[in-house]
Amino acid sequence: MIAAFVIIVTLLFTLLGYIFLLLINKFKKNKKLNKLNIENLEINYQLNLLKSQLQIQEQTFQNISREIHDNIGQKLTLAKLKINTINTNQVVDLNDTLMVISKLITDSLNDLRDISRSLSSEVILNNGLIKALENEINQLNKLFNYNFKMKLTGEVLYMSAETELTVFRIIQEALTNSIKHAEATSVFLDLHFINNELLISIEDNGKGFEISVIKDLNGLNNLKSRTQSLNGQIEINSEPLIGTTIKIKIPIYESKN
Amino acid sequence: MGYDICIAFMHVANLFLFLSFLYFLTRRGSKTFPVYLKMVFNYQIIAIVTNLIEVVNRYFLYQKISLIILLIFAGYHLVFWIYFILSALKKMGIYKFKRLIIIILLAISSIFIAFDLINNTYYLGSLSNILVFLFCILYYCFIFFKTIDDEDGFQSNYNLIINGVFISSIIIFPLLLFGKHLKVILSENDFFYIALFAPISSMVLYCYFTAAIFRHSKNIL
Repeated sequence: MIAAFVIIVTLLFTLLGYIFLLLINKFKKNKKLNKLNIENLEINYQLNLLKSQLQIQEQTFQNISREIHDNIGQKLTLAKLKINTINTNQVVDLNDTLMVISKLITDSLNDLRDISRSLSSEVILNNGLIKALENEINQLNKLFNYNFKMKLTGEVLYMSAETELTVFRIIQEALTNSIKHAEATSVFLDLHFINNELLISIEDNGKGFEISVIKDLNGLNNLKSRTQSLNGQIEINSEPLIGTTIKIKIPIYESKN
Repeated sequence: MGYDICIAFMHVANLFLFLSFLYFLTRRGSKTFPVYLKMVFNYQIIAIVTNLIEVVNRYFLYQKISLIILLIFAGYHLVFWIYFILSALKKMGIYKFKRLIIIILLAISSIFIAFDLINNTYYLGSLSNILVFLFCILYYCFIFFKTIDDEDGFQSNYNLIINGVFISSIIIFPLLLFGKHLKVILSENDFFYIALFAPISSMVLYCYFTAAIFRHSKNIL
């Protein structure tokens, strides 16, 4: 009787041992699988990020191309036409025509300088985000004669140059959208530094849009991609005929430089 | 009857050991074996030698020699498997300090061998089994909580051998733990039926050895 009991107990122990080994094995396999899944997710995330960056780059190229074609190209074409139509016998008209041509070329040069300045990251690297935004707002006010306002609250925290540049591009894109797509006449930019976070709010009085209808707009996607690349959050609220409000929250990993 | 069956099983276990050793030799000729299999090979040699001495001694019935052989093998079993487990952990980069533990184990084994020889007991057998079992558990705990890159598959190879040691130590666990007590309360015949777990445990271990060699050869081919 006792012998049978000992035999049964031993067999039971052995069985438990096998079950234990199977469980360990299964756990290890699951862990390995999870690790693989995480790696795949990371790869996908990186791919998406790269895709977004390429899209952003493509969009930027398109903007430059459009700007050159629609603005500078037109002015230079007009200048060329004026030169072609110059009548050297009419000295009185010549002065006026040359003045017009000179103005067209000066405008074109200014436009080129604006494009160059808005694309260059030197402004950020040299002056920092706040100064660069102030310059941008002043320039927009001067160029479009609209009402652009900027408010800064909280203690300014300095970020790495790359982060500041990305934040600048986000705000720049939002402001451009307000002018070009929303046709806004007044834009209010609010920057608030609090608890290692930068809260950005961009409010315009433009024509607004139905978010559900134009979810896939390139401009909005660029904003989202750029915000995500900084581990930030973005919220876009818009109502037709009332305006659009974009709220962005970006974590700050303070830079010593 | 029980005794005869037990002896027969022991012979079968020895045959398993010998066959596993032969299989190792046939595979060894053409390939270089990894460290863990070389260690197993050394263990097999020691096991064969001690078994041979024990079989020969059985005909001369020198009790003391039989005990000495059993104790030396138990001590070797203890130090060898713990060294093996620690090597596996070291290879996986989890645990690096094995020398101190091995020295302590050697000291403990020596003390127990002396004690058992004086008192005609076999406590070292129980102790070695318990410690090997505990170190197996420790090994599983380590690999359970740590994520190890196992690109060369060394973890699974070590695993197979350690699984064999773990299962064989579980099979023999009640016998070694309560053997003395069972010998008193059970009839001699019944006790030898339970003692069958000893050769069965050895057979399981040798099967795992063969499986490890087979898997290694298959992976190489």
